[in-house]
Amino acid sequence: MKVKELMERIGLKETGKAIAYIKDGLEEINMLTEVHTRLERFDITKDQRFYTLPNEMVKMIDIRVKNHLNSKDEYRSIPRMLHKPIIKDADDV
Amino acid sequence: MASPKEYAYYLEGNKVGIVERDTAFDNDPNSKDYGPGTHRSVWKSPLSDVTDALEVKYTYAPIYRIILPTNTDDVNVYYGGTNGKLRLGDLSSPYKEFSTLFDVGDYIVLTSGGKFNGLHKVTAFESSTGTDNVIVTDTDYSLNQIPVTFEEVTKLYYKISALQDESFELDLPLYLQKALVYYVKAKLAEDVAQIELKEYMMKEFRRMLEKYENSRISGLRIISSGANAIR
Repeated sequence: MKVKELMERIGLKETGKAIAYIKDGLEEINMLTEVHTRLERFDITKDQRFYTLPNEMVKMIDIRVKNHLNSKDEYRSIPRMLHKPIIKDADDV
Repeated sequence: MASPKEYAYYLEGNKVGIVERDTAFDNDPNSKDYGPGTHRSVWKSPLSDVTDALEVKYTYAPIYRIILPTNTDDVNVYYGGTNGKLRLGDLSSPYKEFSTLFDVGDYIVLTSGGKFNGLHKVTAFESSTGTDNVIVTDTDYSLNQIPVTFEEVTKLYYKISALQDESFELDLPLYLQKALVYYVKAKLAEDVAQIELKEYMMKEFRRMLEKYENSRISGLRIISSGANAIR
């Protein structure tokens, strides 16, 4: 379906408004279901605690790390901490 | 063979904090933690460099469509210029001339570009090596004034279709396209304060999403304890 057809179904004539709401709708759909997924890899750097998530991310599905509880270079899901660790990152980077 | 490690994460704003359990033997007599191995259960920032170690799987909004056959190239650095806009460039010889591949005003998509993944609009080209090897985008970024190398080979897709006019073909399964119609109707009803109508449209929207989800799972959905659960 093209944007034009969607506008005709609704009876909307303002393209800018339609595009804005379609963008919202596409985000909402991907928030509630997992239609468009992507996998991004980062290097883990010694003593670097924080890694910026992709700006286009709508919902995080999983975080996996290589060699987590294994020595076969497998990627396994890591748990989310309930409380932040006692030892803070010194430089907050 | 790599040694096994134990990681965990927590969220802080738009960043993910990665911590690793320190299993090294520690006995610090000057600390209140005095005693052999008291640090064994302590979580610290990652203890070593590991390439491609962190995988983040996420969903994104399909506000663009990559057209086949794909037109791709790659960029290797990013930085923020004097006007606070993101620049993407190629600083390895032989230098690329991006202006021969696409034009100012076109949209490009980055993948494997970390936080810059997704859609960007080209606003100009710049030259630092005699060719148009730097792309100026309309994305705000002013953290680094000097070029920073991407961790991965960052793919750049050009000549793509972006959601900017009525000719854009929605990149959604057919059933969800109909759900999207309900969503836009709900928003329009909300604009004119027809809350009942808005709630009805949103209900239909959510119902279609649920039906779409269920359509991919055959048989019964059974919730029960696992085979090894204590009974």
